[in-house]
Amino acid sequence: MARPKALLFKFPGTNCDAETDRAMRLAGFETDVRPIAVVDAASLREYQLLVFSGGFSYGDYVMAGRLAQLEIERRLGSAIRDFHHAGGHLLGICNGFQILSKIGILPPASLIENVSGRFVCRWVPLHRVAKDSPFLSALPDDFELPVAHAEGRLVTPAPEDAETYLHNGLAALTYGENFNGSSAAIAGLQDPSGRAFGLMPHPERFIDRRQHYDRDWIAAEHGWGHYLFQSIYERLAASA
Amino acid sequence: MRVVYEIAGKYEKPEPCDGLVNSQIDPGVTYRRSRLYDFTFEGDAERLDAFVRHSLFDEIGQQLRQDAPLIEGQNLTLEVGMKPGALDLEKEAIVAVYRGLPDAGFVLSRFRLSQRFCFFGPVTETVERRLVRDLVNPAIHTHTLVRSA
Repeated sequence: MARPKALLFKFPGTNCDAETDRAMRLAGFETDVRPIAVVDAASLREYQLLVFSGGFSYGDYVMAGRLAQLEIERRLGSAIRDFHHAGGHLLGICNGFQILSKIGILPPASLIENVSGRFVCRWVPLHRVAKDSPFLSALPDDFELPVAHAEGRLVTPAPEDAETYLHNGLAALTYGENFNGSSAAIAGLQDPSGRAFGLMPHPERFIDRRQHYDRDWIAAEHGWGHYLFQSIYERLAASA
Repeated sequence: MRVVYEIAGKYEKPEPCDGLVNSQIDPGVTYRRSRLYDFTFEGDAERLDAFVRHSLFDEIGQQLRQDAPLIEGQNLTLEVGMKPGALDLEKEAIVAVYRGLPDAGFVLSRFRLSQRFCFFGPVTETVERRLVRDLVNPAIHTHTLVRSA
């Protein structure tokens, strides 16, 4: 059986692609990491999953993720939306979530400066809301992951939209402790099909138990992040 | 023609200056920040407006005003931009987006990007000097200071 294949986009300033690549390979994926400058629309057909890794694409100029969005539009036109409409899966992590939210595949939302006005790097408790998400199926309802961002406070066009996202399953993941002031404590969003998912926490930074701050942590065989990549691997492998 | 857009976060409130300067400052002094995009151009003003709204503005999280101040009520305004000869990578990135448009509908002859800091509360001359010292690098920046009456 062919292993699911993932493409990890790299923009100037993306700096979590190597860790994400390693995490995905450990989960079983065949991966390619490619700079946006060498990706063409036709090549997307080789992949079942497109990944936007974390970092500071284009130095977060203008606003986090905006220049990456414009570069995608210029180079690939509607190819990413076409990939998604054709059944492809997309994952955005941190800055990748900011990019995905601007491409227009996820429900309307913006990730703005944390309520503290500062960059925050810490571990956060998380709650899985969308139990049937192909990206979260192997995770427990409550787990924790590291976060590291300045612009991670999720806001929606109208304040009540965030609650609607919670009730209709689009808010796939919430913070157990709403440290950045996100509306309805949303940490991750998915599209109605569940095939596109973006989250602010960094699953690729907790794939091994030894990466946990508690050296005696034994809640699972691997770090919780591993199970996110395993979830989507198993889903794609089953449908191959 | 010349047009100036000011863009700021919709959800931002005046914040203490702790995160802005290198040492503690009177906690009664607060600030808000915005970005100024100053275009001199020939051509279709509506197309330029569409470019700004698509490329530089996020209507969910930000507010935008054209040719009028977005933030009011401050005691001191500090505008900081790069010197004309200094390499401004952010400006270059925006110009690259403009140059990549297949049919922009306008021609930019000058584009200037700057940040506006609006300070509220007891901004004494000592505080003013410290703000300028910490926020302006005289080697690469130009700045203007305006005290409200």
